[in-house]
Amino acid sequence: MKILKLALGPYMLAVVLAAFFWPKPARGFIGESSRIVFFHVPCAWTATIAFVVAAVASIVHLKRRDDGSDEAAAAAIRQGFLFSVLATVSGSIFAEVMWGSYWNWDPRETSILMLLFLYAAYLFLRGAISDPERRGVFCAVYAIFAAFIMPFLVFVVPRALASLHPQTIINPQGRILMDVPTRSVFFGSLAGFTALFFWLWSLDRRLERMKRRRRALE
Amino acid sequence: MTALGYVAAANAVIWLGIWIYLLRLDSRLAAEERREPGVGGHRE
Amino acid sequence: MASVLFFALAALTLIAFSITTLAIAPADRSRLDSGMLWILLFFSAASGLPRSFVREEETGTALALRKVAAGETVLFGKLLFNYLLFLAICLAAVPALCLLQDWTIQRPAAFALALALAGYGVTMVSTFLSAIVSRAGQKDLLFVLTALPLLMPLLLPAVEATARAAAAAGDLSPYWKVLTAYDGLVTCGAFVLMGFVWEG
Repeated sequence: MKILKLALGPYMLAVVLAAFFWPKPARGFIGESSRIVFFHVPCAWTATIAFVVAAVASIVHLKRRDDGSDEAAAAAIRQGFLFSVLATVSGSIFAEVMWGSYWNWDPRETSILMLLFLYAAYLFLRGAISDPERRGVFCAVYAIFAAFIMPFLVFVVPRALASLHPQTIINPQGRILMDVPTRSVFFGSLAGFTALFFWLWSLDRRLERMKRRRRALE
Repeated sequence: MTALGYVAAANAVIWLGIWIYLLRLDSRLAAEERREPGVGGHRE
Repeated sequence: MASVLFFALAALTLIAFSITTLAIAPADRSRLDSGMLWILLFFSAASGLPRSFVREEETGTALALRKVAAGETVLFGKLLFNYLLFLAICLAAVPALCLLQDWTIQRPAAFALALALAGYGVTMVSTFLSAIVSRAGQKDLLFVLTALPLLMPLLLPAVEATARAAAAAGDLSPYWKVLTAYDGLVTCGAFVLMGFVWEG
């Protein structure tokens, strides 16, 4: 594990530098702006992964009712919040460069915003309940309930609404059309961000566990 | 160096800063976990 | 109940007043009025619907209720009451809005159906959340913050659906599917999870 953490530094450094110098800027984008895809999409992806992790940890918590799973869920939510803020902000900057306005209410933009609100709501709920057992259960319930609805929002609604409105310029994902340099940097970045998330998640959990043990000793 | 070069360099520096910070946090946590008997269960 | 309706009408008046002087093309008006309607309905629901659970906690009857009834039963009961309340709010708000905004609804049956379907979703989520929120601090703010992200996937299509129903033409079939699917999902989720909330 330690080796992976040490390797992540140079690895991501290579990814960052490659992102700027290896692939050519994509067609249809303004200037070098297509490079933001190497940052923005992995952030959004990680924010979604974080949510899945939180939902799974919440299910575990409802079964086991232990501190570990509750902390795991909360830690995933905190990291998810971080990445969804990064995704929203980077997406917004890109939108300004590409289409001239910071926000367009495009279905994908709307769903990342919704994810952001969801994370914030969970954290607020957590802060509002003082009893630790009830806090764990209620937060777990909220996360699982949201997990019921989330895939619906991300997959169904854009499709349903898109069939009625002419599709404005959606994020040019163009996965199939990526050339080798772009594909390598993109998936390389994706892997790096995912690894970073799990590292941050583990650090957060360990920190919380430490605080909890300290409190118990007092 | 071009503008792109500067942006790339800035990004690289930011990332390295984050990485070093995380490594230090990780080792500090590991040290604390080793110190306290029965605390942690985190294996490196 | 009366205070909720009053809140709805007060909010409505304020909104309607502030946009009277705007010159909006007739084609866009429907969407604007529809959006306003749902903002109004959401906040009226937010102020009125959680009360049933909150009052139980405040008066102390919740503890007794928890001993006597299963969570799902209570949820169902509150849901029914809240849904009727929501429909009552609609009955007051819609004609008032139409009057103030000079909004004609061309397809009233479709409009009513959109309100009924989406309204069910709003009520289901609100009722379930109130069970959670009633036992936490900062209830009012907490309810709005936790409800909004859950309701966004419903409200966005709902605004479109009512806007289209108000217009003479426009395909509504995808919206029936989306709204019904959402309603089904949240009902499943709420009833499956209610047990944990009730005993927590």
